[in-house]
Amino acid sequence: MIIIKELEELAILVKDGEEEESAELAERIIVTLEPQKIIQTLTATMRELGILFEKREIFVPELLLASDALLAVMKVVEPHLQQNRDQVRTVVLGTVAGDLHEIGKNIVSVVLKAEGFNVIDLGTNVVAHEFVSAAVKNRASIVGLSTLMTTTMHVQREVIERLVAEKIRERFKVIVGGAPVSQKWADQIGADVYCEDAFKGAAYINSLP
Amino acid sequence: MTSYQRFMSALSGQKPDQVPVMVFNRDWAMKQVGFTVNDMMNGVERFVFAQYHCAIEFGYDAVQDPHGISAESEALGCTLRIEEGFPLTVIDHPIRDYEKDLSGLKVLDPYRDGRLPSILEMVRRLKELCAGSFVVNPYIQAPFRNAAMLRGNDVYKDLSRNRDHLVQLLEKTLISQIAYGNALVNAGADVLVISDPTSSGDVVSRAYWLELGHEYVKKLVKYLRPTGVKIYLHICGDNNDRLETFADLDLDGISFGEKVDLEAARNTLGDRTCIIGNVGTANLLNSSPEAIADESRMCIEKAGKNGSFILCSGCSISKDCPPENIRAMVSTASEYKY
Repeated sequence: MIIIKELEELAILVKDGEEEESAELAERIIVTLEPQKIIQTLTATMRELGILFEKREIFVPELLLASDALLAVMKVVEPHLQQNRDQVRTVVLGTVAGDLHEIGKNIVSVVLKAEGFNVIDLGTNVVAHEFVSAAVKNRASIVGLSTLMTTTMHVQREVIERLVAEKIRERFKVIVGGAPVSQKWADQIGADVYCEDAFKGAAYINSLP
Repeated sequence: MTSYQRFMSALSGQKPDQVPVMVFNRDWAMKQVGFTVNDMMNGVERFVFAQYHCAIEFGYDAVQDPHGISAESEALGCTLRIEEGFPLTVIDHPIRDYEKDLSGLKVLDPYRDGRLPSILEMVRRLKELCAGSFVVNPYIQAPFRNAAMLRGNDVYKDLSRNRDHLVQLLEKTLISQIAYGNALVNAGADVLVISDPTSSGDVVSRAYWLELGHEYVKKLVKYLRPTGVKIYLHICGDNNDRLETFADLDLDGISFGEKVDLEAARNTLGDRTCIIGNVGTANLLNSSPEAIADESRMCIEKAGKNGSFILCSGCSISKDCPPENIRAMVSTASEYKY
């Protein structure tokens, strides 16, 4: 019962974005608890935040704080994980060349980590060939392309064209996202799906066979 | 009516002869006349020519100073990335640590700092060329945007975790914005657009918008009112849950991104507030002229049947936006006579 109470407390601290307190509590409970239990709590917490975000009850500032808290907990938990990373889906993720916006992409990265995926975050301003070589090198099954600006949407198309040119398009599911992006655009450039936010992206990946 | 008269009539809450049009165009206009980003950054006359030429060639009603959008940040110590083929972007944020950095933040001198003197020169030249024909409509950052550029993404965490410092930063940036706004008016601005994508309804809650973004736009408008310049706000994102909050800002107009329902905005803000918007920028890049004409008609039907309306892109258009799509907006607007 004490453990359940502490996990509930951890969920509240992460939701409230209390980075230091979340990490301290994680340090205390990791001694007696399976790390997987903590990961499950984080996943459930981020899903709950996703619902609140979709309902516009929380916004980006709240998600950023919660993400920091979640990453602080992950840092504590990760050394204790015995998971075989080969069995986990790998997602290569980045904001496309010309665009330095990172808030949305970072939230996607945290949410996918909370779901247990292996996330290779390439950062911002990533050119097409970097996405492709990172996806191949890391044996990824998902490529996530973010852009906030109409002016850089074309780079999403360039990544897909490169995958096609190298005859490896079918190896990856390509997810596109960002403020100006839509399912229509995804269809137009041959992406697999447009995801409106991090939580829909996680749900899509979880729905894959 | 001239373009100038048409635009100013709509912004004054009246019915012009027909629906006016403008486009937030950044480097698009430069591309239309074959100039590069470096040309844009280093040549006032090239820039002026691009803006003036496109207004005449495409028939819309206002000219702007598109790279003015980042100039205040640069003048206050941000580093800009200037790269061919990509939009200007702030890549470095000088207020990393409030305790160490805030006291060193200067108040802008628009006549000396960074690229601002060349922006003012551009506005002067545009005014000389356009006086009475087209509206000269430079940018000024909203204080919250300015603060966000100086502080980086941490500004959003500061809303709850570092509020006192953020307010101090906003008070400082407000003084800079007032100084710059006055300088733009002195240089010949007919209309100022206060740009606030950082307070986007997709990013911050209604409460945070009211407490800081809204509060400081209101202060900026109040201090710029004595200049007599017309002022409108451009804000991005889904603001449908806070439309009534735009009513008490004492603005002449509000430019909404494409996620705002213009009919709801019209119903909430009344007939005399000029609504500006909101043809989707992704559609302007990817759709056909026919689709853009349909979307333009829809915008006008929702908010422009009785004047007080300017047909506009929902935000900055891509440099690769097909020129035919801009022509489609202008041609559709010209069908709506009052």
